Amino acid sequence: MGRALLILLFAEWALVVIAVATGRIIGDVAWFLAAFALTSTLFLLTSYDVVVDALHVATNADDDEVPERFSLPPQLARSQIVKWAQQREKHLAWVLFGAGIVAGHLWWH
Amino acid sequence: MVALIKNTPAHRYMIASVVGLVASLIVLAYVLVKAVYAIGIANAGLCHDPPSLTGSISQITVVAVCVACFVAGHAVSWAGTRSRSELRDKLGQTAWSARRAVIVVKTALALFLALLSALMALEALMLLVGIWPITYYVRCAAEANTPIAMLGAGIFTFLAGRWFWIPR
Repeated sequence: MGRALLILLFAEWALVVIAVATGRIIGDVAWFLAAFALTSTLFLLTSYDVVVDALHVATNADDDEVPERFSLPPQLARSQIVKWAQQREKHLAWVLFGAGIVAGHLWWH
Repeated sequence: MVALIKNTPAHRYMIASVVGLVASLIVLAYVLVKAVYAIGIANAGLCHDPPSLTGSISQITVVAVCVACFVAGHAVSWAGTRSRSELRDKLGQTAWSARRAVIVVKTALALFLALLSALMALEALMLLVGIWPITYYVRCAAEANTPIAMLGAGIFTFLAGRWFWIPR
């Protein structure tokens, strides 16, 4: 399930890159569409998770009786980069937030 | 400093938190009133088209003020968690282990992401068809009255720092 979401996200970003490369949209629009692809995918993931939790509450079902949740592909979950990120998630959130503000400030005009 | 925070009664944190929140909202209301008043009395456009990227205060100063406000908000949040240990628990653990609590938090997150997605789509669409996107109005405010715009941005980042990533 998680693999499908990652493929969807990268496919959306590839479409944005192709649209810019072929001159269909300008760079300013592309930045917002790329961000939209990320936030809308996260929205899909979170909403689905809420539905599964709601099913749990409504039916009192066990974990294996409700639909499978989105999760990272096992190979990716075991990778060094993901372990590294998980150990530093508290500080990475700050760094990525700051980097996002600076990147937006510099290029998002 | 840490000892002082640890020895401060919990109810004082609550009072300080509420006072800080009310003060922030008052300043935010002042910024909005000031902006609406300026628009009401304006005889001409308040900024260029497209709005300038710079105002009367250097960008680095504005960014520094926003960073300082964000850190201040985070510091207030950190002090608050010293007296409310349940805020340091992860979602799904101890105080937040009830599935209904998990649903409420995740629903709030989903709504926040839906709002962000809608704003991103709106910005892209407005830029695509040549209508001023929301960011242009922010730029226009910064060009028209940089100190007030900086004050608004500072309050916003203070509140963001207050609520984002409650420290453990």
